[in-house]
Amino acid sequence: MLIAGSCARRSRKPRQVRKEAAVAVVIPVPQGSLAVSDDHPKYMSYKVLARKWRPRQFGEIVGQGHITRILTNAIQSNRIAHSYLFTGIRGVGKTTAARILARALNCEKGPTPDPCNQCTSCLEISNGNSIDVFEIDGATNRGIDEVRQIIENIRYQPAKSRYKIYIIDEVHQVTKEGFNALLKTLEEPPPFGKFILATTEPHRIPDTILSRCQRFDFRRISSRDIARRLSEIARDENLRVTEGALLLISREAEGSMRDAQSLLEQVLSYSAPTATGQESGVQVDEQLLLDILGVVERKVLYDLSEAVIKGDPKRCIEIVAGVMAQGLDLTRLSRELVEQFRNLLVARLLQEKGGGGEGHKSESSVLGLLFDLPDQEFEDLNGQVSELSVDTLMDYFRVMSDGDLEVARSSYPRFALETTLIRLATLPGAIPVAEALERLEGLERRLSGEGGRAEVPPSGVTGERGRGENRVETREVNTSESPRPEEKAAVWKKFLAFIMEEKKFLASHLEQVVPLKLPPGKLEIGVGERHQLNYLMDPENLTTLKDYACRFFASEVTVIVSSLIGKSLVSESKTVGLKQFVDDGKNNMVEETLRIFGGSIKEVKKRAEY
Amino acid sequence: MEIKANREDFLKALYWAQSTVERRNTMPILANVLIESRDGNIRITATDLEIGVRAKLEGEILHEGMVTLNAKKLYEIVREATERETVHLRRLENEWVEIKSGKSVFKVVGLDAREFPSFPDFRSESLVSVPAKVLKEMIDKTAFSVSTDESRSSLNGVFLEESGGGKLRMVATDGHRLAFIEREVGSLRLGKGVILPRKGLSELGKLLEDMEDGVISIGFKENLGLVVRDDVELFMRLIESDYPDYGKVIPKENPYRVSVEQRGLLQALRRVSILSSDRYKGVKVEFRQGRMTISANNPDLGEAMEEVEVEYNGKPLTIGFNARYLLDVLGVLNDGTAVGVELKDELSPSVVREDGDDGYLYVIMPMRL
Amino acid sequence: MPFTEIVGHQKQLEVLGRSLEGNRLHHAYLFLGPDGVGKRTVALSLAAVIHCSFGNHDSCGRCETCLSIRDGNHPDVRVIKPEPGKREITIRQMRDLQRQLEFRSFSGKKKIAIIDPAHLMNIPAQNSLLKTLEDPPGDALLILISNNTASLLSTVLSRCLRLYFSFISVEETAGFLEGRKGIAPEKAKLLAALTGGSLGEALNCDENKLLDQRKRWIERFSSLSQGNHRGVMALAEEMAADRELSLQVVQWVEGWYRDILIHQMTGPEGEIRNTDMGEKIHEAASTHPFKHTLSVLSWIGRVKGELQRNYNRRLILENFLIKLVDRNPCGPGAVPT
Repeated sequence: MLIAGSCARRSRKPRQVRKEAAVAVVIPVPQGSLAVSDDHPKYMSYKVLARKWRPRQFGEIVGQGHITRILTNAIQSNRIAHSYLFTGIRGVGKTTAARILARALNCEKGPTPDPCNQCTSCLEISNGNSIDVFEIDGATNRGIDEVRQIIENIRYQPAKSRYKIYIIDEVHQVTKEGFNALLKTLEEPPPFGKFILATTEPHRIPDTILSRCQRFDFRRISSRDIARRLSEIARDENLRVTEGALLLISREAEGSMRDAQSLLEQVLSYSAPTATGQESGVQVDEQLLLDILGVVERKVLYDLSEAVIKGDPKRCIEIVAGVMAQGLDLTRLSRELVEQFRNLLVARLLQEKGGGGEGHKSESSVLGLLFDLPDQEFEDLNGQVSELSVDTLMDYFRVMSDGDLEVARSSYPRFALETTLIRLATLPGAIPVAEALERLEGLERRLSGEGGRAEVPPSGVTGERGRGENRVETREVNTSESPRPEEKAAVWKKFLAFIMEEKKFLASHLEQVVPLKLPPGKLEIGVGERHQLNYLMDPENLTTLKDYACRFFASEVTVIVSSLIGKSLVSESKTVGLKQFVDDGKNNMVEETLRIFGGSIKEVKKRAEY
Repeated sequence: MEIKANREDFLKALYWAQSTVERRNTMPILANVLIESRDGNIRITATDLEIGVRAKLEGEILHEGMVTLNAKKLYEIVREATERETVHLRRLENEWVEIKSGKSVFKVVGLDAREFPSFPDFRSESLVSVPAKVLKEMIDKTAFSVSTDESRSSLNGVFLEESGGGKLRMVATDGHRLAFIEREVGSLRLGKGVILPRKGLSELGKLLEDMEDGVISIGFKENLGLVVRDDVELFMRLIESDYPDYGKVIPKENPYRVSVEQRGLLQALRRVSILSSDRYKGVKVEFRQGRMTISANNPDLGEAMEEVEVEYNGKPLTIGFNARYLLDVLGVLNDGTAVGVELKDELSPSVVREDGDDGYLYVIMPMRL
Repeated sequence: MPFTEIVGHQKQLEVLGRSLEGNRLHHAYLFLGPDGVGKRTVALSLAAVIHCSFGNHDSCGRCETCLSIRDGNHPDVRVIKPEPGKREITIRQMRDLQRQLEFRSFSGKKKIAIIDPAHLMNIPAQNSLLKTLEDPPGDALLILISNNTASLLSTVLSRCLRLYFSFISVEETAGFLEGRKGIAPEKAKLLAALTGGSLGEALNCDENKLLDQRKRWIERFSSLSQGNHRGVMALAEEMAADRELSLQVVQWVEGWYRDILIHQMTGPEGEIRNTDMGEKIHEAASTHPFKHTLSVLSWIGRVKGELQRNYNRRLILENFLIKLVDRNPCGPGAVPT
């Protein structure tokens, strides 16, 4: 036997060898007999972790002590309810508990809270071929006819067991008529009849059913409990996994033991020692795990949200390309981004509530729990949002969730995600609140011809150089009188045409800027888009622009780039009447917006919706 | 491929094929029959992948080869041909097949014969001869108890196992009744018990009809069973699960015994059950000294009652039964024999046996009325 | 197809190969990844490895078994997809599958069911599969194929081992087209870029359609001048004549605007698809405000949905095109006041 065992381990198909041996011992098969297939299955079935490690006793169910204790007591004191309802998310032990309960009740040595798992009754229940235990799939048997059949069946005494037990899984799939047909039987089953209903969606179970069952809500299993269980399994399977990796799996599993086991299985499939191969496989650490599970690194999420906040669509596209190259699931990235922006928004809301974003220290751990995130990440979130307005974050969240729907639907998720991110990164208004107000005032003065200018740093650019450093050269030049508006338009148009000839890309950016002041003297342009602002503030581009301006206007020209980012122009007008608003010739931004998007003004609010 | 065959021979061979073809079309080719002519034999095969039939066709081979044709259409074409006429079948280009009989000519398009699932390969030495009549009896006396509940796959067939000494057992149960039969037929060299699916059993039943003292050959692989009767081969895939341990279902010592004449009880039950509920056919049976009273009560219709003379000396018992379950078993027992019913109490299963047949028993669970 | 002949997906194949060798093959897989990258091919190849009696941890690709699996005729390897004329995989199909799985296999080897695309299983169908996914009867292997997880129940996801598939790189695709299909290098590169790493699409596409027609349609779109309503009507009518055509053209146009957007955002080094139209993309990127590009893309998203839902195609397209030409600021830019 020992020899056979070691043979098996070295063989490519260990089970097969064992099986052959077993058959040969038990039944002396005559030559040419067909008792055993001639051609053995090439790959025998393998019992996956979730099945292999399925608890066989109440005590082995992780994280549901509040339920198993009650069940154990009920069995001991012989006060077993006739119908139970087990609820909870997938993979927390509902069906497993139901099967253990069935074994406990029907065990040949029972009823006992500790089924022997040896007797025919226990074994048959485990194998799903017990005559008296019905595992019914509520999804397949959902109609009234199927339910009636159950009711009919329960008229007969159990064939060989103490109880006739009906385990109805996915019971939420049963139709309304089906439930109604079940009502009476649930209320008054025969003394030998027991019902165990299980569902992930208890809200879809009618009250009439709920009130007739003893209900147990299975909890999400804590990451710590899951990790502990996984480490037992890993040890037994000779899998070398670091603590960190186990924790990561536990967190990914979101409270579901089966998810965790499936993930561990996935790790095994990548890194387990092969039957032929080495003693043990690779050590699995977090990095390898991220790779294996196709988990989008948290870092990617933060990089993306940062690029969005900085208004850097190019970076967004680069990151997406990177994620693609790693073969990760873009729809999943998209969904996680929705969560990321949700978290950012909530973080900001909490800051507001906590009064200015600093006083939250003491609450931090509590809030961390609220987010289901470690403290460090919470800090990171706070760092990203502290300068942003709640409105802006709401916009981000909304655009991202809309985009996510498209990503999920699209046959080219990459297109949809890229477009969504570009939309986000070019959303107007992603500027610090205080600055926005300040700038608004400056702008108002400028536009109303008061001439006050340039005290406002054209900021909003939070590039690598850091906030506030990027003041554009603003050489003071004497202001001479401006040309009349029509003239101005014509001049600007010509200027654009000129640049178009020379440098199209630059021209394409200029098309959307608002000329606030034309030479002689200085060229002041207002830029409403963050990425354009970035582009135009780039020293090189700015110099180029200045060169062209000097050439075109044939004089020394100072170029001033002002940020018009935000809802400034609309909100400035406050509650002025519609007519007045539209007539107000200074509303370049609005007109520009109307022109680009082809809309009309219907209503003027303090804050325009994007 | 080109063959000629007599219409009647053709029909006989097609009879088996066309009852097998799949009605629900998961694979288009399964709506077709495969006709092969090779090594001097013409064979027609049909399968729905659960079971399959291959029948030999007596005819003349002009060219070897194979074609597939829609089973239903081919059957109709041959059936409508003039009696005793020769049917001439010839493969043309691109899977087209020409069928001529008398003055009619059909051109039918088939599917590539290579797509047809290959018939399982059994070596002849692996088959064992079994008396057809015994096998037929075993199926008839058990198959009706097979569960129709598709969610309980292990009960969806008849369990077949060897019990040593050349004895073969068949067991069927749906959880409410169980039929058990044991007969001596010689060893099938069956390692472990197998579960024969319902559809395979019913086709096998047909195959065994009118065989009297004939024998058929039967053999098993791990996944399949094969039965050969003369020119017809039938294979069936076995059911995957393990059969539950049925031993405990059969009560060992029921203290009271009722003896009753089969025909009288059958007729009484038929009459009374007219007024039992449509769905579950419940009847109440009272056992008293020397008589049993069968009654049914249907709130919508009324009630019925009949007394049957029996030999009974046990304590008075009143037990609810599904009349259909009793009718089923009484229907397969020999006409007019004495039947024994063994009882214990109101809640325990009862056992039905035929006098003089120790190899057959039928367990029936009482029901709540 | 033997594993060794599959293009790309080396990591995924290695995982499967390793599981086979170590006898650790899971009973339920979910192959996730974009359409047309070869998920079904890999699934069928896995089935072939399991069933082929000749190869050593790979299939031979030539024997009767391999061929019947490839052609979808193997009795133990089933591909479940929506029935003809249906949009969903229904509970009835799941029941059929379950019934099939209750029998021992035809060949004595593993029973394999490939559900493709798995996200087309409706909710009752998914629910009814749960038991089978968790404890398949006997020696069964289920492979679910999908391009997203959003339409699958968490209870389904939780029972499957996931294998992620990504696009095959443009280089790999081009290499394959060049090497095995003998397509000229330039053309191979373009085809690869256009199909964006979807080898299935690259192989199955009608080359001329993709190369010439696409270009022609895009050119027609991009040359519609402002206010050219007559042109719009004609174009809309022509496209609306055929549902497939209209969807196809809209998709091409989407790719075109996406290229423009990428170019606008990242400049000339951006990874574009319509590599044969680089000049034009550059030009369009410089003349369209990017906001306009974004708007067009969102219109296209809506148009696609409407076309798929079989609304009045002509109206949809006219509406879209009119928006396109009326709001297309063709000339050089903004007019200041």
